[in-house]
Amino acid sequence: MAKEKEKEKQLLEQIIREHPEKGKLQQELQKLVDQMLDNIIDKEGTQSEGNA
Amino acid sequence: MKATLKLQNIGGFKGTRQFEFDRDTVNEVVAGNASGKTSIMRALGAVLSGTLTHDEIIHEGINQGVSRESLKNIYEKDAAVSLAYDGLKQEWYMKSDGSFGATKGDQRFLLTGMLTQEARSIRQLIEGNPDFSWVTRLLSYAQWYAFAKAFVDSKLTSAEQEIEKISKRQDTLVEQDRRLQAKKEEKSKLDHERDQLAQKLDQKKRELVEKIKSLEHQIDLRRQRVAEYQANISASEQRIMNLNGRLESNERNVEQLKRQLESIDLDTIRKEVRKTVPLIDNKIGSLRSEVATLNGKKSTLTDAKSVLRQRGEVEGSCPVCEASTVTISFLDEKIAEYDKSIRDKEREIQALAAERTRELQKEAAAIRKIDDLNKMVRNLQVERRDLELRKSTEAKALEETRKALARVEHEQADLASEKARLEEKTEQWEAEVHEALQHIERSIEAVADEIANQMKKIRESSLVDIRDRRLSFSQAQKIWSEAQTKLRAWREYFDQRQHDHEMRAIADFNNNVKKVMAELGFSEFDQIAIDKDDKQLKVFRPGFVRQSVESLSTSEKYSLAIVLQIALKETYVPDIPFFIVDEVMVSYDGTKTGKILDYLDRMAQEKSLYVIVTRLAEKEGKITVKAR
Repeated sequence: MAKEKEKEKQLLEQIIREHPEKGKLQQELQKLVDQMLDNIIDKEGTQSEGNA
Repeated sequence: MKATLKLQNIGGFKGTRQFEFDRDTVNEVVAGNASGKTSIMRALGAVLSGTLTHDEIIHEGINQGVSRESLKNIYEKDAAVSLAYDGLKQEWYMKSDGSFGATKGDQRFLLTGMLTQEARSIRQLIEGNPDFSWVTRLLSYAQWYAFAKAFVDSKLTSAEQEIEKISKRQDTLVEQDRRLQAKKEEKSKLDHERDQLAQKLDQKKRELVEKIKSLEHQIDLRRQRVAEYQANISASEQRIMNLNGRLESNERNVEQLKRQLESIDLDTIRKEVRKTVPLIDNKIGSLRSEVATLNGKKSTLTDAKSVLRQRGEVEGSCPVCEASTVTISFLDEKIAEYDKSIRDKEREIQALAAERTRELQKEAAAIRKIDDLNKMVRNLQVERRDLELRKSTEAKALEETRKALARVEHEQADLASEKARLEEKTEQWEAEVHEALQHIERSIEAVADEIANQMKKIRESSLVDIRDRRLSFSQAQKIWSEAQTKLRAWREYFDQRQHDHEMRAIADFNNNVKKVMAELGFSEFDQIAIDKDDKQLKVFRPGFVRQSVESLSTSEKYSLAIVLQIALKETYVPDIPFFIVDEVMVSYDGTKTGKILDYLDRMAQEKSLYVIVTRLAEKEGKITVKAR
């Protein structure tokens, strides 16, 4: 869990470092949010299927 | 090393102008008033800043006169700037079709690399505004964390809104479900109402049909009775006719008998009898006398015969006749002759007696006939009375039958009328019920449509789209909730990093301010620094006496401005090898200007910069650029 958090912080840092420009940064952050939502949806889907 | 600046239709310049600047030194752009010095500085600022994207910096660009429209020559349709240095070429252009472009620059240059009258630091200091939070907000790396934080905040707000939306939609769904249930109940009621109505209609129809049938049966019965009555009436009329015939016949018979009676003249008959009977009696008397005479003669002869016989004689004298000799056979013949005459006479008497009887019977017969005729008349009269009685009875019966017929016909008419009324009522009622049923059916259809729509709405409302995935409310809530947790963690991270960067940036800036102050030998201040907490510029006089920015003299404000601007350049855009100073030097006295220019010269050499400074020419003439 701690490793995951650290990895995530590194990812956030990487995005900021690599995209010091408003448009690009916004795009990358949006991608990250979308990916995060996809992951949660997939996880929820898997759990729901498991529950079902 | 030179930097070449090319201008096309920029500011007051029409057509193309080119200027060259030396590196590692202060380049003085010298010219008279309104000759285009500021246009050169602004063009440099624009081409080095590139495309402005941050709203606050765009606003700053407008303030500093590097916006697209303010750079272009007002008489020309297009404009361009290019700056070549260190093998690089940066461009800025604005075409006649309105399109705009620029090679990548650093928009922070506008706030750091340009020390002009319009520079933000100078404006703020002149205004006495100590708020320097923009330094970290717009210049430091912390801005990207702040941007990311704001982005995450917007996503958190979105997530919050999505959760609220879901919650509201849940409420709406409950309301929709309640409405659906209400609609279903309404439909159920309507179905029940329709069924009941249909049942009632069926029952009522059956009842009415039964009633109509009963009426038809009663009408049939009446019809039969009418036929019976009519037959009875016909028979009765026939009987009355017969009775009339018989009465007429009776009357004729009576008349005939009366005529017969009148024709019998009993007095005449009696007179005739009284006249004829004595005559017959006389004839009978005569005949009887003749018979007695003949019997006497016969007896004489019989006696004579007996005498003869007694005598045994065969012949003798005739005792009764004048004949002298008679024989027995003669006597026998005579006796036979007398017998015959006697018999004839007796027969005649008998005939006369019979005639007398007949004569006598004629009266009796007439009387009898009169009696008979009278009796017959009486009989006929009795018969007439009987016939009349019968006729009267028959007539009464006929009248009764006719009355009954009329009554039955009336009843039949009433029943037919009742039947017609009932049929009409049934038809009308059926039409009404049918209309009511159709109305209910239409209502049911409408409610069913509403239910279908409501169910569709509920189906649609009960699902939420996240990332093109259809999810249930609970799933969506869970996902948004988890996303919130994640986003909060990111926010926390970005916030922390923003803070770290801000603190570092402020520390670096404050250090650079300190360094520049030392370099410039500004001894009137002990410390000039941005406060880490409130990001306000704080100025301390010797002895660490704080003085408000507002209360500084204009000259001090300009002094402060150049320190801050150089520190900003050093701290935030050290990699851009340009620093521009326009129209600011006029605010300093000669000693200070010299100090500043010396410092800028040193800075240009140390940092390998193109420092470009404008200076008002003593004489009007062409713009010249020369290294100091």
